[in-house]
Amino acid sequence: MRRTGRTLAVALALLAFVFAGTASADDLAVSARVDKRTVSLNDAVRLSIIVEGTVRQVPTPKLPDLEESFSVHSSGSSTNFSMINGRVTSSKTWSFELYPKSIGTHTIGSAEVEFDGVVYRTDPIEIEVVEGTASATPGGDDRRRSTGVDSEGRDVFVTTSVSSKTAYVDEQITLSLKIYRRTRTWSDAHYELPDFQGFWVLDLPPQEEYIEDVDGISYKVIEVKTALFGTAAGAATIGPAALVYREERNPFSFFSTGGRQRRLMTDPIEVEILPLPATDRPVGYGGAVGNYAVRASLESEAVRALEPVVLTITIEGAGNIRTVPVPTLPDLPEFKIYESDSATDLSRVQRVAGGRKTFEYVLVPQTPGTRAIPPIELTFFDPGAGRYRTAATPALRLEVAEGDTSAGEAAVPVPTRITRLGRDIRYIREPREALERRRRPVHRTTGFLLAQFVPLVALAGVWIVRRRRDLYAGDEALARSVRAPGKARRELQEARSHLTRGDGPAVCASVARAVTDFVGDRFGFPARGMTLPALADALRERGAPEETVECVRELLGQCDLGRFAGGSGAVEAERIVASAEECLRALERVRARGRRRR
Amino acid sequence: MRGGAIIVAALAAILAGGPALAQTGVPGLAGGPAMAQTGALGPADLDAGNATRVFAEANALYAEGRYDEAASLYDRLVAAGYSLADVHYNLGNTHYKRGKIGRAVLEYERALAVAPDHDDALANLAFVREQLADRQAPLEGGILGALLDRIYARVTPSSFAILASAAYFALVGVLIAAVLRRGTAWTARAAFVLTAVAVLATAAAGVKAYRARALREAIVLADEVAVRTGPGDDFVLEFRLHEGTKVRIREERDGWRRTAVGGTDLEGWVPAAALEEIVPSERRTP
Repeated sequence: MRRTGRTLAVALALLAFVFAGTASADDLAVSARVDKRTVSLNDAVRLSIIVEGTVRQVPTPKLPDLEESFSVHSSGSSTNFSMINGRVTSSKTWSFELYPKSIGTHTIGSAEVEFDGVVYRTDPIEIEVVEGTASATPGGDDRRRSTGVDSEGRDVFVTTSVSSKTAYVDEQITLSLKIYRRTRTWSDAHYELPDFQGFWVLDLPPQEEYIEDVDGISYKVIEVKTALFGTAAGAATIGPAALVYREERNPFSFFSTGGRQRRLMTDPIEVEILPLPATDRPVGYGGAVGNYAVRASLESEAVRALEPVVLTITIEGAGNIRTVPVPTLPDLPEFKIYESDSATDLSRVQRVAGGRKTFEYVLVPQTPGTRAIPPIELTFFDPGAGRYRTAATPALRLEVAEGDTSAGEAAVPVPTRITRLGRDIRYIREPREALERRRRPVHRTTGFLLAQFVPLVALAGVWIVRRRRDLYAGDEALARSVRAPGKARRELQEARSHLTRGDGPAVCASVARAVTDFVGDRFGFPARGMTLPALADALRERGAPEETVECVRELLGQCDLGRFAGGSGAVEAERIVASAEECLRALERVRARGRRRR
Repeated sequence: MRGGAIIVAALAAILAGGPALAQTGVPGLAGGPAMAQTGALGPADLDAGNATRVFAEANALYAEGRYDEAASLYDRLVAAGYSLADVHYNLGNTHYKRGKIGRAVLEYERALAVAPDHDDALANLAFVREQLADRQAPLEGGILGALLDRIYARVTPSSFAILASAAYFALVGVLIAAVLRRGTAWTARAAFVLTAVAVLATAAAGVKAYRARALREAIVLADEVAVRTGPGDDFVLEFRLHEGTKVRIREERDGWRRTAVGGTDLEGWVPAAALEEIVPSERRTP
């Protein structure tokens, strides 16, 4: 109600803005009408407030305070325009259903409309509220009904029933929950409506209270009705409803066991929801189910080019009004079209759900001439007839005169804000690639966990390298000793490469360097500058056995011979390399023994 | 050297957090029947090719408005271990179209448990929540708090773990540079920042993983359910919850569940059948 009012206010504000320069009031009249002056407690009075005048924009009336006497339900509004001899007459009717709250005489106060500083008021109306349906069946007691229900003699029982067990998708099924009781000894009573999964639900107030005879016993009955609309085809179950109340103790019975909470359940109801027929489904059918009429009206039948005119399309009728889609406008190349606003009003006339959807468009004719707006159609499925039907408006005519060139661009309306015309969930997602079962998340894979140790290992390695580098920087002899085996291997490798080229002197030179440097670096004395005897003595001093000393001395002697006397042939050079490897292994053993001994 | 020892200790703590996090596990991310591991819990007849065809078929049925049939196919995919965010999301849409608003909320929540940044699921969940009978107030905590909550909610434990790992790798790189070229003020500052990032991200991942395992959240599927002061119909009615409302489960006893409504101090007992857990306990990784 509040939302509808706000939407209405926005629409009115928009139109007022568009026509701000042209609205003027010659005269205005406001009146209130009711469909009956006498009404029973369980019936409704239909109140209509009509505002009409030679104005383009009808002001909204302010309702009197009715809440004390009535329960008020809006049943929408309707607008009419007429143009007689160039005078535009607008009338707008706001309708309400008033359900009386108590018996007696109630007054519907004055509704007020303020326009151009003048307040217009309706006359008060007196309504007499009587018990029973006095106006319908004078003299009879319509609140007393008979029934086919089996009471089984119970004090309190509850039933549910449906208007039909078969319905199309989005066709109304009326669920009736009836609570029977013949005792006043209860308290904290409330009912729980069934599980409505698979249905759109609309309550149908007010609840009825009457007396019903069951098996010759008079019960007071409270009846609550609800409109259900199946959302998908197939079998559907309306779950059990419940009545919860507390038994009151009998103050006159010493042995009373009252005071317990009781819960009464109804049986679930199976209903069959039929799919909408696939055959004969018209092209462009938008999902509307019900029985609807379509009206279209132009705010004016004659305008100038580039002047806006409002086209209002109203779809009204019985059915699930939520299913009615936005109407498709015919192709109108002579107009610029701006969507303006839309509104939805729900109604429950005679406990039948229905309502009205109103869509407004601002049309701006671009060139002068007689313009026709072709019929606007709505296709809906009529569940009563069991077939698709199409309702259409008559074609509308609009005379477009030459535009006011002096107005220029100012005549073009300010673009309207983007209005949301409907909301729904976002559409499903399509597969972008082949489906795969969910994998273990990255942070729980073995690879991820093992990878966490890699940086630590790298850090440890770098730290060790750094430590060694620092150590060697402070002890040159140690550094040379550590590097000696590698250096000797490289020299011998070079000797072998000379060997393949048949360069005997170069082989001998490399072998001599390898052995001399190894001895000097590994044993810590300047071997390069020493004579062979001095070198042999130095080795002996460091614990080398005589055969090792002899091996070194002989090898170096052969190398000197090969280098300087040129006496080393290919076979001899190969033997020198082999001998050098043997000498180096012997020297390494000597050094190892010496370290162990130390 | 002392600074180096502190950083090494921090590294050790981060490393210790990694395996702990892996042990903690994250339902919906680590697996579980709703989020099942490969073939562990579902029929093995759906290989990847068949599953893709079933998904496409379900989508086609949805497009034709045959929502019941579409729902059964999506359910089959979930049962077969294809517990993917898009499957739950489409299933949520299908339930919504069938008028099962509570189940729609449940499936959107499941989609978000798998992919917290699933924008379609977020949008549809917000849309559907507008139609719920129960309004749940957002948690208090100011704009900054709300923003942090939002970011925190949309980041998975995996993302936090990867962030922590990246910071840790960068930290080790800085330390290696410091070892090779001697530490500078710049490397000390960088090491401090990276250590802080790694520790915070590890903590966030751990907390999130723990919460995901320890927090049992459920959606009300019954149209309306009475919440009582104890596990039985004879206890006093405290309040009522309606379909689609999200609650936390605190305890279970004799077919009843003690539930709490987030953002309020309301709690009480409801029949177990009235709720369904977003990630059921039997589907959680130990």
